[in-house]
Amino acid sequence: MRYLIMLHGKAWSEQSVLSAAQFAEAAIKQGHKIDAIFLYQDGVTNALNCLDIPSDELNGQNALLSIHNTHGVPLWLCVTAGDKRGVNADNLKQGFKIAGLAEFAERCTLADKVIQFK
Amino acid sequence: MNCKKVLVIHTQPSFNNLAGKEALDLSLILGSYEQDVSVVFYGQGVFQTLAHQDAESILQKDYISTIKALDIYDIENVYVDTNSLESYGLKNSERLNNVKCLNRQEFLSLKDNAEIVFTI
Repeated sequence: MRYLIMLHGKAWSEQSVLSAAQFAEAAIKQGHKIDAIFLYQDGVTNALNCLDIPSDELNGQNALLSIHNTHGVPLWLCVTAGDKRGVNADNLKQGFKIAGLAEFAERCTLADKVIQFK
Repeated sequence: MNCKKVLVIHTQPSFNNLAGKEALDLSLILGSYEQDVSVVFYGQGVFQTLAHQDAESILQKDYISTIKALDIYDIENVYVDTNSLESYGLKNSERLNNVKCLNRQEFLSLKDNAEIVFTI
């Protein structure tokens, strides 16, 4: 199956970020495809390059990047939601890509299931 | 392009946060991609459907008027959950004209029929 994930959880403090990464990992292991993980609303903060999370604390950004680096799953964020929250090309963590709701809408038409994590 | 039945459920009050606006942004984009979009205001989301909200008085911008304009973007299925209205004592309050009432059964079947559901 082709899955598309929309992630709403904020950086550092929310389980939903880790759940999204865990789900993606498990789905890929079972032979499914994750078309993309799309960050929307406060979820865009996961793409900041200035997060400073102690190594013994949960790190959703690392979990997302690991999915990206290991399996090539695109990590997209909504440009509008990002701009309004100060997340832009100048402070974007490598691995994340600025996209738009339009690209997300297009992917919605192709995926078998769209799942939100929030 | 595939046309999918998409349901966008608004669950947040009008101006506590701007989830309502970001839900509308999503609906409008999906609508412009010719998806079959329905919008439901549910739970505290029903507050977004109240008429005459004075956003400016609390230094906010009025995004509520976008709800009135949804049909311009060919999104005509705009509903409010009647049970939620009752929960908040809003059944007899004046609401936006283009928002139709939906009972729980109708809401559930709308959800069942949707191919993609967004809860925002």
